[in-house]
Amino acid sequence: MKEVIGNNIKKMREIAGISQEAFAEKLDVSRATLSAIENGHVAIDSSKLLQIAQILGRPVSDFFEEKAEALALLYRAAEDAVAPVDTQRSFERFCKAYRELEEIVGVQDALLPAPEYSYFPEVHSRPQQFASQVAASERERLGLGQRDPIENIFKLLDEQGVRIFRQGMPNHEVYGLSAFSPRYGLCVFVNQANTLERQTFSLAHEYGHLLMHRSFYQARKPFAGLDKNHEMEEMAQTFAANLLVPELGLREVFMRDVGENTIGIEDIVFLKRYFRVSVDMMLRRLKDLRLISQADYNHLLEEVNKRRVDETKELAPMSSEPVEAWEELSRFWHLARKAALDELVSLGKLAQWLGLNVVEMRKKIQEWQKEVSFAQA
Amino acid sequence: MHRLSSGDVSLDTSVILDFSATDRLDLLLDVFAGRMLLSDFVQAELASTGIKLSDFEVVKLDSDEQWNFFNDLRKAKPGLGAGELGALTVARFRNATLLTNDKPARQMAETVGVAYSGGIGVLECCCETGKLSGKEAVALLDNMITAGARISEDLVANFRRTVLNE
Repeated sequence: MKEVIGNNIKKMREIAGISQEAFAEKLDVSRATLSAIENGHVAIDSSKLLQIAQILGRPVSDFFEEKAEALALLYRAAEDAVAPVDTQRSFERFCKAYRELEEIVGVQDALLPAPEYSYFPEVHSRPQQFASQVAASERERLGLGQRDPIENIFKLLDEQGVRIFRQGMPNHEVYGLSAFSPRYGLCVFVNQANTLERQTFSLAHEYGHLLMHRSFYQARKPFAGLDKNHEMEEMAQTFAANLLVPELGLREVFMRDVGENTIGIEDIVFLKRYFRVSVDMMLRRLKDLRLISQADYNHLLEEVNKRRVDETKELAPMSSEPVEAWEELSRFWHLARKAALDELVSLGKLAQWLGLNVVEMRKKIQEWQKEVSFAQA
Repeated sequence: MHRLSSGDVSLDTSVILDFSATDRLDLLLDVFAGRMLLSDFVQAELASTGIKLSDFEVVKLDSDEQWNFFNDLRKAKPGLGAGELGALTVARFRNATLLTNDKPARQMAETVGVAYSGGIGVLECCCETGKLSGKEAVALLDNMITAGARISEDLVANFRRTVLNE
């Protein structure tokens, strides 16, 4: 076992970009001792292993994986923004917990794998057209047709087996992360600190990556951010725009409710609410589909900006209730509740998975027990 | 004599939480003074809770044999956390009784032949040594359950019958 533990320590230290020398210093051991541990010549003691787990932000169990499956993360961010390591680790913990919960509850094979629409530059000469077609195919597959808005994309994708993790990240400039591995499936992190409209778009965007760029996640590089002008990013943007606001649907609503009249702010608010997207995204979509001119776009954007308190706020924001209601009933929380109430997992393990301490976890389980008792009464 | 009245005990978090939630950590000290072993994994789980336990020996795992056992348990029961795995490994290698109210940990102890007991065992011991009357022990157990202790209904019913002579 000491070889496996040592090898994992080395691998995870390297992923974290910490030199052996610096790591040895943090652990207060000599470099020779650390080298002996990493090479499996010496068994580590548990206090050092705990210290290492804390420094690297990983659960202890990660160091025992004999065939550790790396989760490659892809993230969407504004220029130069980087997702904090804590967030990356929380997301990884969630992806793994989700899979382990499925296995423990015994429902790991209950969902069909999401399709893959692989993009090959040498075959598909027009990436944006490809992304639009994938969005249209996906809308058909999900039974949405080409007209209607998506009521609740969180619920929709959750039901498809996409593992969605929402958490606030102090950096608003990082919108979302996605991860894929054959074992852990399709996972998306959405920054809850952003507006719900941006969260919705980020989820659709990351889903686009997972459908079109899955081979990227199997690359050896464990973590990468993409420039917003990168072709893959532009494809994911196009996918999200077409998934959330289908051209046919937007044209119909536009012709019916705006028609030949001069378009005003109220029309934009109506359309963004109808399709549950941000006002910026709706303006861009109208411009891209040439339903409004560049001059109208500039004028309307100026009007919107005048009314906005700041850039992080949304005009006529959508209600958070449906997303909160989904979260409460999401598949992940159902599995966690079931595992806890059926006593399939220990308190400590659940606490580790959910990022709580054992006292907080115990309180949560008590709340779940009360809900069930009330339901039975 | 109660089987917990002698020998070392390896505590997991659940039992400590149950006694802490009812402000009776003192009973653990009374019954097990100088005999409490705490895996440093359990200690780490407790660190962020503010619970203060005293008079225990922190036990580290440091041999390949211990890590192999720890890993075998982990693979056999993926629902166990590092705390429970540490407590079980300490119990095994120090020939101690595992003290846990956690069902997966008790099941695993049974499988690998590690002696185990739980909060009820501690209360029985308290009754036997006169630290608590039967009524006090039952009241304390009820308080523990109200505070979130997860103990099987059969064990609770059996305990009530035994200590209250019902």
